[in-house]
Amino acid sequence: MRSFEYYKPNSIEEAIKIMSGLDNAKFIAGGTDVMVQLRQKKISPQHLISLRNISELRNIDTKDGLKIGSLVTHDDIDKNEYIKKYYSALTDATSRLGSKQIRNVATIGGNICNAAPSADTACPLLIFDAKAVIIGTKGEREVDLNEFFLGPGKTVLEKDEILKEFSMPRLKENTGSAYIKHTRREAMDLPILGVATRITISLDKDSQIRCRDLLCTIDSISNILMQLKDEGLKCEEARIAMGVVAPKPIRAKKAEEALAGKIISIELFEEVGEIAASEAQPRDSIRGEAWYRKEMIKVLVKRALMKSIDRIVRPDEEIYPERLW
Amino acid sequence: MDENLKIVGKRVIRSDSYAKVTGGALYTADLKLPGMLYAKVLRSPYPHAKILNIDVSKALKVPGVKAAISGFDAYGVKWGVFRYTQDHAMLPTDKVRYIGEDVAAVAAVDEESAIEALSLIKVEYEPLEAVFDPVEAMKDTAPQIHEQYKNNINIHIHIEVGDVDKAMAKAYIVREDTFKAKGEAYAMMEPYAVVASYANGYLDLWMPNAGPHVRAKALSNLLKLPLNRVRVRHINSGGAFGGRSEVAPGDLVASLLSIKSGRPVKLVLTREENAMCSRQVHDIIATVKTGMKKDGTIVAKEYKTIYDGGAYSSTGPIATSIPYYVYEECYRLPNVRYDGYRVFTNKGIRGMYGCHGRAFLAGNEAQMDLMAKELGLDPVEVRLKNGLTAGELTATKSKIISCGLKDTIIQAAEKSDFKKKWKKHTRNKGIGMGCVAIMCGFPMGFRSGSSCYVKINDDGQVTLITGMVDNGQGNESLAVQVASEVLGIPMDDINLVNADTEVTNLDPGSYSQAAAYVGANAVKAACEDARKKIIAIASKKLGVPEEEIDLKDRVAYSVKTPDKRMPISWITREAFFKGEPIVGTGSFFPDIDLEREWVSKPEGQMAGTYSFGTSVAEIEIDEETGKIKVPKFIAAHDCGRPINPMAVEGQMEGSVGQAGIATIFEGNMWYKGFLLNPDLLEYKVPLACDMPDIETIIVSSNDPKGPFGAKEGGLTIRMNAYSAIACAFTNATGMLFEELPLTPDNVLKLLEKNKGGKR
Ligand SMILES: Cc1cc2nc3c(=O)[nH]c(=O)nc-3n(C[C@H](O)[C@H](O)[C@H](O)COP(=O)(O)OP(=O)(O)OC[C@H]3O[C@@H](n4cnc5c(N)ncnc54)[C@H](O)[C@@H]3O)c2cc1C
Repeated sequence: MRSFEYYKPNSIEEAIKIMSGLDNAKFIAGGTDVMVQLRQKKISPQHLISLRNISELRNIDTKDGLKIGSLVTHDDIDKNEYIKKYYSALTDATSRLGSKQIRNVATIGGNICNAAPSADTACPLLIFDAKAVIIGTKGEREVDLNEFFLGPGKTVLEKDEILKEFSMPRLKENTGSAYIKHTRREAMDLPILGVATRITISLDKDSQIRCRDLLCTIDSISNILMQLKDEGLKCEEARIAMGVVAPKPIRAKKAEEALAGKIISIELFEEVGEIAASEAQPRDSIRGEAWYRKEMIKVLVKRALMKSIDRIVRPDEEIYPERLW
Repeated sequence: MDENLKIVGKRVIRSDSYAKVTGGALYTADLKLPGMLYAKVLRSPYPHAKILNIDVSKALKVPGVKAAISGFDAYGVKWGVFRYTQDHAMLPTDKVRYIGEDVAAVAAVDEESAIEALSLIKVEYEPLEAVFDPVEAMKDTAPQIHEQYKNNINIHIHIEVGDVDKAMAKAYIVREDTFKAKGEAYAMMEPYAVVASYANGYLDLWMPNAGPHVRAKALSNLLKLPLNRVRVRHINSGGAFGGRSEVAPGDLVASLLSIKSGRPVKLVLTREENAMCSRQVHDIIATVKTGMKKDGTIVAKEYKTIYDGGAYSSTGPIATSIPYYVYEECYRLPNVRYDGYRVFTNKGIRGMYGCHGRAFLAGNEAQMDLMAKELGLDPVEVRLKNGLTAGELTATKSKIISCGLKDTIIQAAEKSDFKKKWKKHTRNKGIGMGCVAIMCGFPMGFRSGSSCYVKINDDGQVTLITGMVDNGQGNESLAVQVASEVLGIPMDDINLVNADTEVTNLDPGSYSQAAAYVGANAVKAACEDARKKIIAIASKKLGVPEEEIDLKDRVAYSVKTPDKRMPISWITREAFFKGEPIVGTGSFFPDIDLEREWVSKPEGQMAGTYSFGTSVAEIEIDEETGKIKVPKFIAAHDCGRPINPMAVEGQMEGSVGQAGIATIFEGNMWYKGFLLNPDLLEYKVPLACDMPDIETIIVSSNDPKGPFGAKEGGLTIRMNAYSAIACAFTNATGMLFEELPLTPDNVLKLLEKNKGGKR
């Protein structure tokens, strides 16, 4: 590893100023991507500008919707009860990102700016319609996260721009979400595939009661859905995002449309899974072949949707997965 | 004495633990010698290419560079474990045979300069056609990797016992299946490192190794130095698992650089280099044909096993044999034909592995279960029926001395409620059992035995000197614990000097499962020698007969009148006064057939004794994703008498991960001779959170010749844990595995096949 100059500014403005005056410089947050790339000689910056002293990047604001500063660590998110309750998919992602040691230092901003197709927080942020708030020499701008990624390792960020925070709208009543990271190992693994879903449901009066009754059982959601049939739950709105199926994390918009306004059933979820799979262009890679990834999209979209519903109807439940399928 | 043991059999904290858990233990990469240089190796980018020229002159001009070498600076000696396998130059001058092969190297005052200098070394290659698949390599049209091995067949082991064809013809059922397994990575926690220091005509070396004496001998050959000028010294070792028994290319590289520069040289491999350029594990294709009687008795076995041997011979003949032997040491095989082929390919060098042979062993066991099912028999009963017992001979005429196989099977089956669960399996839940035996040592000529010296120092403390080596499994602590028992002196008072070729005598090393049975037996003998001398003096001083004296807690005392006693330190001083300080020597040589040879005479006593073991795994298959989970694992091992039960359990638990969970996780992936997953992100070593709930059972068979009845401690689980998983898969799905590891995509494909679907 070559030596480099190290800077530690105390404000966003200072950081931008340092950056715009230098060539071959790089921002560093937790460093868990930067340091690895340095060692692998994928990058060789002469200057590293640390963002760790900029405290305004460390806020989590839950007043209206959710704002998460770019320097918030995965562990901070993990410990946040509000996020866990309302933006559960995000906690699903951070709780299994790397290991505790990684989560203690790695940041959500770094995860997104690094723009790996496998970035675990990308899919959850996409389903919550997150906007990236960016500050640069030319001022502040907001970019829809869907437009933020350009390709593997590439984003819309200009050289002297800093990602300040993610801003997500408040969620409607009866909304649930989930992220499923499909890996071989339980920890320290990058996903073969990642799928996040968010669903908002409406219940008519009758089914609300039946629902409650059924939901008091420990029956699996698939069984409950089966028993509710046509009179049951209606999907008001849905979001589906997938990682490692394209050069960047993507939304499965056709699948989302196929869900919206429909009465929910397992068959519908399976259909939606098929559509989502058709929207993906996975590649063969060492972590999984394309055919396998396509198959898994179908399975995981279905499972993530069921888990999302489970979270609406059984909000206080601590453990979901075992009895779902 | 055996029946009232003071410390043997107790759960003691290993003598090496404290330093290791506090980070105080030093490893080769931590060494710093005055004037030490840092080495880097230039590696072959081609899987197969002629070397036309190597020019290191420009590298030498980089400031800070003190030496640069290639194979042309070596002595033209090729190394091999056997006379007939000497084909590995370590630094080739004719051609390169795998990607990552050591071609040239530099030593500089820092790593940066060394790296810069590497880029200035000019190597001219003429790329040759390469072959990566062993079956392809055996064809007449395949490129020849070594002149002297026709069709790239490095080793052919042929074993023929009884009349296989006749027995097969008479068998009630016969089944033939082919099983594959990807090679694994050793993934030792410590990447390979070596420090070589040449001064005044003497070469000192430090590196993680599993046998200092064989290492020194190999280097003395390669460097054309007299053996007394090559000293391999003791250092902590962060894992070997069979991969560090042989001399490594890095040893030669560091030695040559040190000889050239006259300064100590350190070479530390990166994680990726450790995977690509130190040793790897063989990929295996095993065809297993079994004939069985109606009652489940095995009447014949016919095998064709192909081992992907990579570019050089390494421990070839041994690697080509072991999977078969550990099976015949477990089961009665009246008629056998085994053809094992080790075939060269343009891939990295391969060695033995603690879990060596998974396609062969898991294939045998899973196939047996399917046959049992067809016959309406229970796998437990079939294993008990075919399992060897003490006093019997293996197929190749090696006598089983002590045998706890039956107990390991019965206890593991009872603990897991095996019979019931096996019958009650569902499509996605199964249980499986795997058995195996392991030789405690194998014939290594005059290196098959071990000796030990012990001296009692002036304060009654002890120095133990043995060639035994520890790669993390606890051999050092084992030696100290045995000495403590014999001498009645606490473990803390015993200092160990070991694994240093200058001060210690020959020892078989820690790669043939001989440390407890052979090494510790020598320690015991040496300590008994010293004990006799202590007791003789005590007897005179206390005025009691020698038979009446025992040693305990640093004191010699009369068993009949315990207040007649004196500290051992007094006795020691008495001995010094007499001019006869107390020293003891002892050795142990196992009762083996030294005529036995892997290729030319595969018959006769293989080892002094055998250990036995049974694994039981329960698995759950997610039928939609193909993911397998292992909620429960039960491992039963017959280690004779456990010297330190905690250490034996540790070995068994480690084995459940390294062999058991590896069955679903681990495998090297290749693209045209290029290893795709040399790092620990893509090579999936199981983590603590991936481990099942484990129960370990130690079965004691009290070996008549083992030290205090001890045998090898835990390796059987390393060689049957995968069988248990494979059998559990068969139990659930009714199918055999085709290839290990059972990764999710692999499983999904098999399940689809079962449904009659395509893919
Ligand atoms: C052992 C290990 C395990 C891992 N496991 C996972 C995993 O399971 N899932 C996963 O998704 N990732 C994983 N990662 C990758 C990494 O930890 C994450 O991507 C992490 O979130 C990166 O955050 P960081 O703060 O360390 O980023 P850094 O490495 O500091 O930066 C990453 C990139 O973002 C840029 N950057 C950072 N902050 C800003 C900002 N505010 N404005 C503009 N640019 C910025 C940097 O310049 C750099 O290009 C793992 C990494 C390691 C080493």
